[in-house]
Amino acid sequence: MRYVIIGGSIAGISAAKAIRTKDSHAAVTVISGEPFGQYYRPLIPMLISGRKNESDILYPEDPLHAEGINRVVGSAIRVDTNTREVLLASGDRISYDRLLIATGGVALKPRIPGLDSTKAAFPLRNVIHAQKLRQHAASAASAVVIGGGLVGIKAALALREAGRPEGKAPMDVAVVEMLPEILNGRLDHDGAAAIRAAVEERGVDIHRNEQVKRLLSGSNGRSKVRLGSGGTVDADLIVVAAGVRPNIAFLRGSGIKTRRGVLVDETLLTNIPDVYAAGDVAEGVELLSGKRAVSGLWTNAQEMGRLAGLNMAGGNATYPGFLAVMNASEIAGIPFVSAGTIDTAGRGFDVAIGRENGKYWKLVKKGDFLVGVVLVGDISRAGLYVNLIKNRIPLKRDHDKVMRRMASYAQLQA
Amino acid sequence: MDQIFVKPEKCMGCRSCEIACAVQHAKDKNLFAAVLQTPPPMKRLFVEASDNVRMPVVCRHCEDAPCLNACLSGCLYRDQKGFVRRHKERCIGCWSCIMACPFGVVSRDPDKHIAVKCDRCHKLDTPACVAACPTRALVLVEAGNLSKEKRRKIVLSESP
Ligand SMILES: Cc1cc2nc3c(=O)[nH]c(=O)nc-3n(C[C@H](O)[C@H](O)[C@H](O)COP(=O)(O)OP(=O)(O)OC[C@H]3O[C@@H](n4cnc5c(N)ncnc54)[C@H](O)[C@@H]3O)c2cc1C
Repeated sequence: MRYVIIGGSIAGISAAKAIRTKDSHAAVTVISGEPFGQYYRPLIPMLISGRKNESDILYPEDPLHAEGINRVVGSAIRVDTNTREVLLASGDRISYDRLLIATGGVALKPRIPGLDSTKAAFPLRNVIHAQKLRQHAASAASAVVIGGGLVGIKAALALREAGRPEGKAPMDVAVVEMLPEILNGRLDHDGAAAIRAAVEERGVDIHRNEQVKRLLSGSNGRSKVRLGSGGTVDADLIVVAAGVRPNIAFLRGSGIKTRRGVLVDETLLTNIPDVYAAGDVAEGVELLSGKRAVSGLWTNAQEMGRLAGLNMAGGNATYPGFLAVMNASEIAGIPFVSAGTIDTAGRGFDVAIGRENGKYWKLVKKGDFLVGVVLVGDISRAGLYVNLIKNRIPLKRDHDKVMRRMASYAQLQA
Repeated sequence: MDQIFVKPEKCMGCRSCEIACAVQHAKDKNLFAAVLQTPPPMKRLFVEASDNVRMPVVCRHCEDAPCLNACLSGCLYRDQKGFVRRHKERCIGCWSCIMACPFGVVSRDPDKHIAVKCDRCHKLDTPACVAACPTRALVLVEAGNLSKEKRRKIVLSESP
């Protein structure tokens, strides 16, 4: 049996490892579009800030080599599902019996006049982007981040921290967010507002309800952007963090059904026999809404990858779906966890909110089920709540304790 | 892998295990130094008491460990004995493990901004919490390759 995996990041690696657990002899090939090697994508902002260097973000030991998995560096440009071949940009063809598409996402490119012609605008999706940003950050006096999502905010903070030649002040960094609040969809209004205040405290300017209209090239090599409201902001460097879309362009004509992402069923199989998809490229089912969605989260990609791998190797596991919101992070010194349904305004949920010493929590219940949690400042025992949501465990006598943010494992077992 | 078993019916809630755990993870592994250490050493297990239960909640070093699966920086790993441990220097404080642990036993070190969890006192024959428990509510079962069910029976058959 020849297994081929396109994409060598967390979904692909998890799948390859899972295949190995069921089939120790099969030929497994991972086609990786990134020559750099196996690295932890969420760490790339730390290359910009200088907190980590390239070798720090690599896997401690090569997860593929250790398992006797073949890694081919190259870019898949076409999949022929009739002859069961993957065509690479190099012209090579790789035959498969079972195929996994784990090509993740690419940064969206908003249509902004001037963006195409500048040499100082980058997304932040892979190690090369981070290296470019780090390099430019050494000399830039200002940066504008387009988009105030998690990646945008992390990029902004990293640029503020970026290593500067001796004696040079940190650069001016602004985030331009179209919506009324940053971290849309990742935190509720109050949680996001608390994080925003801390980010601003670290010297990042945040423009909300605002858009970048065009890039202006200024005098003496300094550039600016024009905002929707009319003003301008200095922008020697631009980070494009306006979202991500699944990497599916190369599947055109393959017969593999796509919508936003590659459509998969609950076993992560596509419409084509023996062709699976997992991770940020897949369009599966969101657990709480039951609707189709693309996940965009590491933990989900890991889970999907593993499950797809098991099924490719003859298993029959089903995926109940992922939570569209399942975030943990620490931003500007404030830790937070959010999961499930977090935006509840006027939607008929039972909501409990607590505030204490700058900490904030919110718990959301529907009927007997916890469906959402937001913990900002104090994230202790977050997993108890997330587990109740993710595994749809009905609350029993413990309703009250859970909704008062006093859940304990002992209590839940009682 | 040796496993720590918890027998809630024997737990008096004395918290000896918590203290022993914190001391074991202090710079100087004795109570007096640990009490004076700033910031204070952190415990890795938690005695929880509710209306009708009292029990230490301790890391299971799960076979399919949610914390390990969720780690996105290469910090958590399974060591040769089967324990889920940290490469401390790799933790970036993303808290994915805290979000993932259904037992709530991974914590955040507020000073170092890294995750803290049970390391099963991997250098000791008997974990500090087990050694400290006066009522044997915490016991170490040398699992070898016994099935889970057999291990449970051993625990149950131990004299009270
Ligand atoms: C800065 C940043 C911070 C993040 N922080 C978090 C976080 O804190 N928590 C969280 O849950 N998620 C986070 N994420 C998201 C997380 O990284 C992704 O969800 C995860 O990496 C998805 O994994 P994947 O394997 O599906 O795809 P990806 O990681 O996107 O990998 C896809 C791989 O496929 C390769 N590829 C694509 N097309 C081809 C082709 N045609 N041929 C060959 N190879 C190809 C790509 O080069 C890439 O290596 C973050 C992302 C970024 C960018």
